Amino acid sequence: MTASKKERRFVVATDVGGTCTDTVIFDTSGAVHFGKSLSTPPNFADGVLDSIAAAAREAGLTAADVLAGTQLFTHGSTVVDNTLLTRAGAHTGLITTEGFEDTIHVTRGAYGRWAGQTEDQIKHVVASFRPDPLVAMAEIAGVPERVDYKGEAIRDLDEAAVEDAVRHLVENRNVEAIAVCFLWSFYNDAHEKKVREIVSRVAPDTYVTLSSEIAPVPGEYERTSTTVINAYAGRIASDYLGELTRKLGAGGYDGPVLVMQGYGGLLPASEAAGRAVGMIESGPAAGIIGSKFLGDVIGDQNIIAADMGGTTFKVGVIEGGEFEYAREPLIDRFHYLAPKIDIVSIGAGGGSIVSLDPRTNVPRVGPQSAGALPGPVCYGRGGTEPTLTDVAVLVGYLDPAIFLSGEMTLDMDAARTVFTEKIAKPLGMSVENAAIGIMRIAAAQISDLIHEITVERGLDPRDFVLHAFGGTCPILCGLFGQDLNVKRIVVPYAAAVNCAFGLASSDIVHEYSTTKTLQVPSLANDVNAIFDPMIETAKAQLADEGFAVADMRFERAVDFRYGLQIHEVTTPVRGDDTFTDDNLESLGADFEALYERRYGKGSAFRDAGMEMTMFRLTARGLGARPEMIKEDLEGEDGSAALTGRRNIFVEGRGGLAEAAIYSFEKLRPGNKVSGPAVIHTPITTIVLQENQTGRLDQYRNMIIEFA
Amino acid sequence: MDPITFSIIRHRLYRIVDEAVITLKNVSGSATTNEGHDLMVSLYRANGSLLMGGVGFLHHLTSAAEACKAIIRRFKGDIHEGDMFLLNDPYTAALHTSDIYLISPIHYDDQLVGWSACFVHVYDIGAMSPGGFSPQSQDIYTEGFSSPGIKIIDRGELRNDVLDTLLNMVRNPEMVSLDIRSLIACNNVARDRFRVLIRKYGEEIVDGACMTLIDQSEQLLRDRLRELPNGKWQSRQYMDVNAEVHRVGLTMTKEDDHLVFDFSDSSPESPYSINCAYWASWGGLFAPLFPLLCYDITWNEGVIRPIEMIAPEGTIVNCRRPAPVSVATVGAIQSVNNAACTTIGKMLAASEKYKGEATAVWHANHFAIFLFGQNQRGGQSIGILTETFAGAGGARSFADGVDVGGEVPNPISRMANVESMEAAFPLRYLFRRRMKDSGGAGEYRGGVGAELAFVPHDAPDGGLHYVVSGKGTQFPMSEGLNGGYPGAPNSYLWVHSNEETAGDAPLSFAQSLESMPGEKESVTWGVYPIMGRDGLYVQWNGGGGYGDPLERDPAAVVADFEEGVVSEWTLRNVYGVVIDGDAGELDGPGTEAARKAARGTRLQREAAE
Amino acid sequence: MSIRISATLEARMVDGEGRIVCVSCSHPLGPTDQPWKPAATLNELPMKGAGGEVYTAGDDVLLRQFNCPSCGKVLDTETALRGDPFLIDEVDVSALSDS
Ligand SMILES: [Zn+2]
Repeated sequence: MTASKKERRFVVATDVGGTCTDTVIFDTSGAVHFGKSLSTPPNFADGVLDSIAAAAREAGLTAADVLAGTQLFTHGSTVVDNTLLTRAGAHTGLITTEGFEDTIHVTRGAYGRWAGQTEDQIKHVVASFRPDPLVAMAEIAGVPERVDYKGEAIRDLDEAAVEDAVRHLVENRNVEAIAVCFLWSFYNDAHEKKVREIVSRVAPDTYVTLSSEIAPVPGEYERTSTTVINAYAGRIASDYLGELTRKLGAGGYDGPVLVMQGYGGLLPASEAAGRAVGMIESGPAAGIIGSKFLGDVIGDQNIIAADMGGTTFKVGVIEGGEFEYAREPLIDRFHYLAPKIDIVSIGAGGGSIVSLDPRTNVPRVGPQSAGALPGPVCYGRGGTEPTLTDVAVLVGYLDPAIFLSGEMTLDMDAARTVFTEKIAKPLGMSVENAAIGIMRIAAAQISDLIHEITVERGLDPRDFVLHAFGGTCPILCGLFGQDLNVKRIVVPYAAAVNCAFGLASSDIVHEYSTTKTLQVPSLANDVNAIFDPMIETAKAQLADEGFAVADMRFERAVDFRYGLQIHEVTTPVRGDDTFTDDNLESLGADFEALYERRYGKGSAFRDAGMEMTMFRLTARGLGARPEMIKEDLEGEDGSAALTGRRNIFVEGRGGLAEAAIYSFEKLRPGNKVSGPAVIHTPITTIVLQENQTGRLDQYRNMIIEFA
Repeated sequence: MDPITFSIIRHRLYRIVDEAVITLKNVSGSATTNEGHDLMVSLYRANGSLLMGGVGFLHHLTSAAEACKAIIRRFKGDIHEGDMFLLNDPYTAALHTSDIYLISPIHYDDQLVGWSACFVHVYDIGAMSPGGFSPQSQDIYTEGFSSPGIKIIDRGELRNDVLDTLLNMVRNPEMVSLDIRSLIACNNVARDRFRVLIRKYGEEIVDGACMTLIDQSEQLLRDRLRELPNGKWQSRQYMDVNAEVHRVGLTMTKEDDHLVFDFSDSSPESPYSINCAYWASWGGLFAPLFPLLCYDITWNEGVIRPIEMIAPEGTIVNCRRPAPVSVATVGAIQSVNNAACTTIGKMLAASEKYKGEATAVWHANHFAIFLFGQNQRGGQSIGILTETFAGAGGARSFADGVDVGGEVPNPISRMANVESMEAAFPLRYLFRRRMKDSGGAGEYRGGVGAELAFVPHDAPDGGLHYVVSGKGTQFPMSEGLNGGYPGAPNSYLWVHSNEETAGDAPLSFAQSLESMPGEKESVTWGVYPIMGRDGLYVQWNGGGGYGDPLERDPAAVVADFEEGVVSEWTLRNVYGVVIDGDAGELDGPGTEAARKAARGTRLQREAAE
Repeated sequence: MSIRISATLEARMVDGEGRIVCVSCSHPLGPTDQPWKPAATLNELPMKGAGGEVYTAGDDVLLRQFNCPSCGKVLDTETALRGDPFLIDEVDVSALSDS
C-alpha cells in the first residue's frame, strides 16, 4: 500500500563515494538524520539501501518506513568513475569517418601522454606513456561519409559499409556497445542518426552513443573520446540506475529518482541513464552545490569551497552564486566534453606522507598517501611513515585522547619516534621546529593551489569566504586562509554530509547547446532563432517532469571569441528578454569585459573581429530547499566550553604557544572564541590562529574572522 | 638555508613560472602558442643566469639567459624599474628572428634582483616568406626585423615608436601586436609575483634560496655524472636541402663530473637557412639534456655549469653573420637536439643504473609547413600545420616509443583537431592517420609517425600557398639505439591535378597517396601553391627503434601488423616473423627458423674492417 | 668481473687480457683499448626500403648493422652516407684491470 501524499514528509539524499555511502534524511519538520555505510562496488545499489537503513535507524524508523514516506530521492554516485577507473566497462567499438580511424588513439599527439600528469611526470619524458585506450584499434571501423565545415554533407554515408562494420564489430569482435563519431556531426547529425538506425536493425541489443547527442561540440578528438567513454560506461550506468529505481520501488518508494550531474544539477534517472559521462565527478559537484546552498543561507555569494580529507585536497570556486566549468575535463587521463564544475585538487590530506628528498634532504608533503590502511603512525594500525596527521599531533592540533570524540586514541609517542627518526633528525632540527615547518609547507602548497584557481583566473581571494570541509581542512584553514587573505572562514556544521546537502538542495537542470558560428554583429533574430526552439524543447521537458511554469528558470549564455583566437568565453545573457540589436550589443560588451578579466588586461583583440560560436541554455526546474534548523543566539561568552589549555603551533608567535582548548559540543550559538585556540568537534578539529576569532552562528557553523 | 623556507620558496618559484606561462597562452590566444606550446618563460638571477626554467621549448632556456646578459651589457646604467627589452637577433642570442625574446628586469627597493624572459614564435616577422621560416632567404638581411636589444617599455611606458616600427615591417601587424602584448603580460605577472615573494621573505632569504637551488642542481647533476661511466660517444645527423648534404657531427666526452659536447666534425655553414648561431647550438644541446639527465633536477644555471661545448666558428652549428638562420629551430638546432639525444642515450645505456633512462631519438624532423592565403571568410590566414608538434616517440630500453607521441625538447605540445584546421583554413583533410612502417624497427619499436593529405575547399582564391622547409627527406633522422633501426624519413608530395578537367572533376575522397588523382612531385624547399583539385600529402618520421628487431616479441610484431602499423613485408623481412598465410596467426616454429636463418645470413657478411 | 659498455657489449678479462665481448654469446671483439666495430660483421643495407617502402632515402644512404660474428645479433646500427667513417664509441673500462 502506498502512503498518501500527505504522509510523504521525507526528502532523502544518498551520496555514493568510493569508500562510504552517506544518506541524509530531511524531515519536513526540520529534523535531519544522517546515515553512513560502506560502499558496495560493483553492486552499489546495495550500499544505497544499507545507508538509507542506517539513517532510518537514527530517526528511529526502518528503511521501509522512510521509503514509504519519501517524496523525493536525490542521488549522486561514483558508478561511472568507478567503471572507468577499474576498466570494468563494456567491450566497445567505434564507427567513425573513413581516414580518421586513429583520431582517438593518437590523442592529438603528445596531449594524451601529458594531460593530467604532474610537472614531475611531464619532465620525465622517457618514463611517460599514454593510457591504454578504452577502444581497441581492431574495434574501430572507418566508413565512407563526409560533412564539411559548414555542415554540408559532401559525401553520402555508405550504408552498406556501415552495416558490414556493425556486423563485423558485433559478430566477429563481440562488441557490446558502439560509439559513433563523424567529423562535423555537430552541424549535421544525419549520418550518425542513420548509423543508429542501422545498428538497431542489425544488432538491436547493442548500446549506442552518438557524438552529436552526447557532445555536439567541435573538436573531433575530445568529442570521440567523450562518445567512447559514454558508450563504454553507458550500459553499466543505466543498469545501475534501473536497478536502484527497482530496489527503491520494492522498498516502497515510487517517486522520482533524481541523479546528480557533474555540472551540479539533477536529472531524472531515466534521462541520466543515457548520459553516463554526465555522472563523472558528480560527488564533488554536489559538494560545491552544498556549499552554495549554505552560502545562500548565511549570505556568502563568493565562496572558495575547500575539502581536505585523508588523501586529497579539493577546491572549487563559487562567484556571485555561479561556478565555472572545467575547460578540459579529464577522467583518469581521458578527455571528455561535458559541462562539469571546475574542481582542482592536489594529493595533500591527513594521510599524506611526509618525507625528505633522499638526495637533498628537502622536506615534502605527499603526494604519496598512507591511505586509511595502514594510515598515520599515530593510528597504531601499522603505519610506519610519518603523515600530516602525525605532524598535527606533534604541533598540538590534535588531542590524542579525544580524537573523533574519543572513539579512537592516538599514539603520540609512536608518531614522535617515527617523525624524529625520519624527519627531524636528518634535518638537524628539533621535533617541534621540524613539525612546524611541515605544517607551513602543507599550508603553502594549499595556498599556492588556491592562488591558481583564483588569482590566476582574475579573482581576488579577498572577496571570497573560505568554506572548510573535511576532517583535515579546518586544522589548516587558519594558516592558509590568512595567507590568502580571504574575507573570512566558515567551518560548516554539516560538513561531513555536505554532498548530501548539495543533492537535496539542487534543482533539476537540463543543459542544451547549439553549435553555430555567427559573426558579430549579427541580427538579433538569428540569435533568437537559435534559442527559441531550445527553450521550447526545455519547457516541454520540464512540464513533462511536472514543473509549473512558475518553477521554471531559463538561463542563456553565448560563447564568444575573437577572430583568429582560440579562447572562447561563455558569456551569460542578462535577463529573459528576447534579443534585440541593443541587448545583443551589450552582450558583446559583457564578453569583452569577461575576456579581459579572465585573460588579462590587454588580451582583448577587437581588430580581428568577434564571433559567437555556441549558444547554451540551462533550464532549471526549481527544487525545494531543505530547511535548516535555526537556533537562538546566546551570549558571546564561550568559556563554559573551555576544557583546558595546551601548547600548539601559532604562526603569529613563530612557534609553540599556549592555546585554549574547547569542546564544540559545549559551545552555544552566539559564543565567541579567540585564537589561539583549538575546538574539537565530533568529526574534525578547528584551529584558530592568533588574531582569529571564531563565532558559532545560529546554524552552528563556526565563522572565523581575522582581526 | 632553512630547509622549510627553501621548500616553500622553491614551490612558489615553480608556480610563478607556471602562472606566467598561463598568462602568455591566455593573452596570445594563437594556435602556435596554445596547441604547439611554442613558447618559453623562465626566471633569471640579477646577473642573467638561469634560475628557474619552465616547461616550454627547452632550447630557449639558455639562449634567453644569454639574451639577459646581452641586455645587461648593452644597457648598463640604463636599466630601470618597469623597463622591458626586446631582442631577436640570432647573432646576439636568439634562435631565429621570429622567436622574439621579451626581457624584463625585476627590481625591489630600487635594486635589480632578477629577470624574467619569455618568447613566442610571432605570427610573422617580415621575412621573405610569411610565418618566419624563410627557405628562400640567402642571408639574415632578408629574414625580417631583427634587433640585438631595444627598449620597448621605458619605466612602465610602452614605447609606441618602437612597437610601431616593428609592426610596420610585418604581415598582419594586429596578430603580432597581440603576440607582443602577451609577452608583456607574461613578464608583468612573473615580475609582480617575484616581488611578492621578496616582500614576504626578504631579498636575502629569497636570493639565498635561489643560490641554494642552483647549487643543488649542480651538485645533483655532478653526482649523477659521476655515477655514469666515463667515455666518448659519437653521433651524426644528416640534413639534405636541395640535394646538398650537411652534417652535424658530435663527439660527447664524459670525464668524472663533466660533459663536453664537441661539434667540430660538422659541415661548414650552409647557403640555406638551416644554419644556427653559437647560442642556438648551446640551447640545442640542453633541450634533450634537461629531460634526459635532469628529469628530477630543477632546470637552472647549476645544470649548465658542468657542461662545455665546442662549436667551431663558420660551421653549420656556429655560423657567421650574415648567414641565414630562419629555419634553424627545425634545422641545425634540431639536429643538435637529436645528436645530443643519441650520445646521451648511449651513455645512459652503458650504465647498469641508468639504462632505463636511455631512449632512441624522438621526432627528429619537424616539418614546419606554414599555410598562408585568403581564408573562406575572406580574411588572411597564416598558420603552421600543427601536426609538426605531433612527432613520434623513440623506443626505450623497456618499451616501444609512443606512436605520434610528441618530442623531447617540447614536452607538452599537441596538434590541433582536423575540425580546427578546416575551420581556420579553406581546406579539407582526406585522411590523418598513423603511418605504417614508419617506426624504427627494434626489440622495442620506435613510435610511428603519421600521414595526412588535404585539398583546397571553399578557397576564395582557388587554393592556398605554403612555405615548406623540408630537409631530411633523403635521410632518416630519428636514430635508433643499441641496434634499432632509425624511424622512416619525412616526405612531402604535391599532387598536381590535371588543370583542364579540374573544374568538373568529382571531389576527391582518396584514402591513400596512391589513390590521390594527379601527378606527384616531391616538394621540400620553398613556397608552393595548392590550387583547384591539387592535394598536399605529408608523411612524417617515426621514432628510432631500440635493440635487434629479431629479438622483438613475435606476438608484439603480429599485433603491430594487425593494427596496421607494420606491413607484412617488414614483419617478414625485418622482424623475421612468419604468420600463417590464411589465418594470419603467428607461426612460432616458422618464426624461430626464419630468425635463425636471418642471423645466419648476417654471419656470412664480411668483417667490418 | 665485467663492465657494461652498452646493451649488447661488455668488457671482460679473457685469459688475463681486457676484451670487449658480445653479451649474448661472449664472443670477443678485440681488446678494450681498440674500437670494436672492425671486429664485427658489417651488413650495409641501402636505407631506401630498409624498413619498408616508407624508407625513401637517397641511393648512397646506408643502414649499417654491426653484427656479432658468432651469434649474429645486431650490436649497433648507424645511418651513414657511403664512405663516411664509423661512429666510434669508447667506454672507460680501466677499472677492469684494476680489479
Ligand atoms: Zn654474439
